Amino acid sequence: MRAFADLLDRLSLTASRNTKLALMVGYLAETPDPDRGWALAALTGELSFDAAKPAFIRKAAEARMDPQLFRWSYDYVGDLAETVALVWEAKPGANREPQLSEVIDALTSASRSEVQRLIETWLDALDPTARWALLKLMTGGLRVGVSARLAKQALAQLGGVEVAEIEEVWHGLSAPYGDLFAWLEGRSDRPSAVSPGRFRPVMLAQAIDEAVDFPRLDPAAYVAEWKWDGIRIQAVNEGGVRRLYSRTGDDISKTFPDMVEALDFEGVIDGELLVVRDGALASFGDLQQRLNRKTVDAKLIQTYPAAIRAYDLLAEGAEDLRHLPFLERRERLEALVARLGSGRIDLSPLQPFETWEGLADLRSDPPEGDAQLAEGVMLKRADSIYEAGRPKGPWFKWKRDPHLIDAVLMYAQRGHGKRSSFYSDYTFGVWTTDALGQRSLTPVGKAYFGFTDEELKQIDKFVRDNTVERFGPVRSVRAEPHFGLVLEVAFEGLQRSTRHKSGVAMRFPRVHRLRWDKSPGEADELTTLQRMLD
Amino acid sequence: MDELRPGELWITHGREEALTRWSQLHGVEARALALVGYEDEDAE
Repeated sequence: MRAFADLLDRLSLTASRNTKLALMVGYLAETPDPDRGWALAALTGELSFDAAKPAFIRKAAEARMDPQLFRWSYDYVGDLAETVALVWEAKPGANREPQLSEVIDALTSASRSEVQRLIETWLDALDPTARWALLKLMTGGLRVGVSARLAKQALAQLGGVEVAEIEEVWHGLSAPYGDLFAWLEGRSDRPSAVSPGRFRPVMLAQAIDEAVDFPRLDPAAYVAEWKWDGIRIQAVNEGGVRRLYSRTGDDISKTFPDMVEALDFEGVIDGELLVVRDGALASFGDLQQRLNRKTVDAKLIQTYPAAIRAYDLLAEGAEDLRHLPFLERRERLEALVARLGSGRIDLSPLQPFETWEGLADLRSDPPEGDAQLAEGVMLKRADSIYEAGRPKGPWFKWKRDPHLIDAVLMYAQRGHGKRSSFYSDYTFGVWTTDALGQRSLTPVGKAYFGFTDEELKQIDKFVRDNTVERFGPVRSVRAEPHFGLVLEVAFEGLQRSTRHKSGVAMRFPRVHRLRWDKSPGEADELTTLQRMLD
Repeated sequence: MDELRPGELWITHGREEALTRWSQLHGVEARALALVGYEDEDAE
C-alpha cells in the first residue's frame, strides 16, 4: 500500500505528462507482482468493488467523529476520500499496514459487513496519504490525471514496445496482468490477442486548424461525412461473441441489449450510436436518457430506440481490414450494410465536395434532415489506413462553431475540492418581458468552466464584492440593467426542457468570455434562445 | 484554542460553520461575525 500511495500522491502533484510517465514506469519496474498489476488495474479504471460503497466510508467517518463537523469538512474539501483521509482520528494500536494485493483480495471476496469492519482497521493502520490512496482505490476514479492511455504508454516504455501493441493485447488480459509483465520483461512471448469479441483500439481525428491545415491539404485527397452527435462505438460480432464498446473500450453491451441483438453480421463496425425514431435522428438529449444505466427496461428501449450509423469496418469475418485504405474499407462496409438490410444499422453517407469553401458552406448550412443535428463534419484521407490513436494528418474533425449568447451572472456557488475557496459555479440568466412590459432575469443555465485561473479570480472578487444574499454555499449577486457581470456563454445545442423554468436546456454550456464592457441590460432575451429551438 | 481556553469566541473569517461546530464540541461558545470586506479581500 505504501508504494502505491506514494505513486498516487506524486502523480497527483505533477501536471507534467512526462513526469507522470516516468513515475509510473519507475513504479511498475520496481514493484513486485501482483501488487503492480493491481495498481495498473486501478490506474486504467479496470477495478470496481461491489462490496465497497462510498456510503460505508461516510458511515465509518461519521461513527468516528462528530457527523455535523464531518459534513462541514466534506462540504469544504469537496472530495470524500480526501476529507476522510485528513480527518480520520486513528485509534492507537499495533496495526500493520496492509499490502495492496491484500486490500484487493479482501475487497473482492469479503462481504459488505466484513468490508465495513476492514475499512476501519485499514484506516487506523495507515497515514493520511495512504488512507487517501486506499479510499480512492475503493471508490474508483483515482483522479490523478492519468488516463488509461497514459498508463498503457508507461507499459510500452517499460517493455520497449509500441503502445498499439499493448492496446492490441489489452482486452485479452485481466488483472493482475502477470502474463503482460512477463512479456514486457522478456520472460515470455507476447500474450495472445486472439480473444473473440475483443476491442480494437480506436482511430481518432485531430481538430482541424483552419488557417494552417486548409492551405496545405488537397481537397481531392479527402472524403467528408457528417460528425454525428451521438457516442462513438465499436460493434463486434465474432464467433458468436457480441459486444458493444465505447471508444475507450468500456463494454456497454448491457446498457444496449436491443442494439447487441441487432448485430447480425460477422465483423467489427466502427460507428456512432444514436437514437433514431421512425428513420429520423433524435437529439443527443434522447440518447442521454439511455447512457450510464445499469438496467434497462422495455419501455426505455421503445421510447429511445438505439441505432448505429456505421462509418468504418475494421474486420469482416476473420479478416482484419485495418491495413486497407479507407475507401476500400468503405466499399466493404457499404456492401455489408446493404446485405444486412437492418433498420438498426445504416451508413453514414459520404458528402461530396469540391473545394474547402464548398465544404465550409455545407458545414454552416446543412441540408434538411439528420444533418441538421450533426456537430460538424469529419474529413478522412481516402487512402488512410485504420491507425490506433490520434495520428496527425489522416483524419480531421471540423466542428460547427458553437452558439454564443450574452447572459447575466445571477448566482455563484463555491466549487469543490481545489476550487472550494472560490465561487466557481455560475448560474446565468437572460431577460424576459412580462405582460406589463417589466423586464426580469430568468436563469437559463449553469457553467463552471471555460475561464482561465485569472478570470476565475476576477469573477470570484466580483461575487464577493457584490453579494446580495447568501444561501449556504450560494450567493446571489447584483444583476441589474446598469450593474452586473455579463458572461458570453458558448454552448453546443439547445433543447426544450420542462425541468427548467425558462423552458430551455443548454448542452455543454461554458463561459466563453467575460464581457466587462457590456452592461447587463444589453444581454440577450429569452426569445433569442426560443427562436433557436425552432 | 487549547492553550488560550477562551470563554467566548468570535469568528472573523474562515470556514465559520465548521469552526463554530468544532468550538461547540469543545465546550467553547462561538459565534461568526459577518464582517464586511474581510474575507472578500483575498480567497483564503
